[in-house]
Amino acid sequence: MGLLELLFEAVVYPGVLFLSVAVWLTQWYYRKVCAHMQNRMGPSHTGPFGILQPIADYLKLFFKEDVSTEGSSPRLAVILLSVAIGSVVVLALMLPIAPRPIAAEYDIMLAAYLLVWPTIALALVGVLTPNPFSTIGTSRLFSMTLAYEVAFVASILTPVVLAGSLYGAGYSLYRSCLEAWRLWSDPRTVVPMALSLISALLSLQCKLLTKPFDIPDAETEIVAGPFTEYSGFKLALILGLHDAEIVVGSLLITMLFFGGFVPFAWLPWYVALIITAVEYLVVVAIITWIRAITGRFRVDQALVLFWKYVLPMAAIALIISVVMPGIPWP
Amino acid sequence: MMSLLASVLEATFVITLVLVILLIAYGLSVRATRAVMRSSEEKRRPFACGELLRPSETGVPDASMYWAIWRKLFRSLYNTLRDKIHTGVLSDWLFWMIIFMAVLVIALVVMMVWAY
Repeated sequence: MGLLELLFEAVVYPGVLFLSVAVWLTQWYYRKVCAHMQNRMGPSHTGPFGILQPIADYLKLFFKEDVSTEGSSPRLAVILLSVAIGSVVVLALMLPIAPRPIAAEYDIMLAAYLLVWPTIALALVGVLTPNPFSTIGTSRLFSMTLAYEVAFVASILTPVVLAGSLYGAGYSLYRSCLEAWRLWSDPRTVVPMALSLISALLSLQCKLLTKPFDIPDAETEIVAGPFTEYSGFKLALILGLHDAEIVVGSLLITMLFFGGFVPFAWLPWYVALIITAVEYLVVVAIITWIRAITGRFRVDQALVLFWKYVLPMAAIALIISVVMPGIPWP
Repeated sequence: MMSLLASVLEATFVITLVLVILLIAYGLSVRATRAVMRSSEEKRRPFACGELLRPSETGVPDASMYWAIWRKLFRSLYNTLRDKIHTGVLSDWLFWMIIFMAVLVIALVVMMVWAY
């Protein structure tokens, strides 16, 4: 890929500008759907149907005074959060929505590394401020990371391994997205795909720190956990990272498990685009639905859920996907 | 498809680009908010529940929090080991220790055979 092409993709589509618009619309949709599920109105005053509310929130934080506590490292926090947002942007560039995606054989290793970066950045950002609530929130985040990150990476690996061994996708995230939707029509691979989809959705919910897994930033117990001391631009970066994770995480599940527009490539491009958008909105609606109907777990309950159920589910799916292609099939 | 090294380099380039963009935005935000900032040392001090904290009180040791959570998670396993296996009878303790040593010896032999 040429430098100008890469620059365009990183800055415009599907990079910073596209993700900013996607974050804006997704956050509005997320808040509106959650509000309706809980019999509330949601954002409704800023713009038609409150659609400009996310922009107003970010602008407010941009122009708000940025107070840094004594003994904290504000500049390091900005750098860590920016690198984490950069890693989310790279993940978007690795998906088939990019005109010329970043793709190589075995690039799933790069994707797994990039997926973990936002969590590491959020935990380190919590450590950087001198506050007991931040420390408690960060320790909760570290403990939960050990459970859900392993499950998330294992559940993403399952379709990649299956697509690699059955369709020669070469353990590339981009090529797996092009091939993995066909795995739903093969009776041998339906079970591991279903198991990994369920564990991926639950792990993503935990990765986004939304209910019932909002334990590290439980506002009624520890104010805002790792983010207690943050305000202004740095808080905008934290919220931006969270929203970008919702967008890219949901896009990843949409493209890797359902193929997005790929199964409908024979249709006119705008129909395929609408179908992809609907698939994406359904994934976001599932995340919102879980958030709206559940209460917060305790940290030990969340860990038990992941270690006893979600992680074994993802591990079984991964083991089946490794062993299954070697078994003869008529 | 390109090589894995090339894709890592492209990813690094994109991350650096985003970092530069956001640092510029941070600089603009600092410049924009300078007019509304009021200099006060008090608001920069660490408070919790309205009380000013001493530096030693501003953090909880991470290791303590980590082990507290893990001990709670594995409490049921620990209780089973303590209540069901530890009967207080000396011969039971001897039996337990012999089995434990036997497992260790078997593990050691297996490792030595595998190593050589």
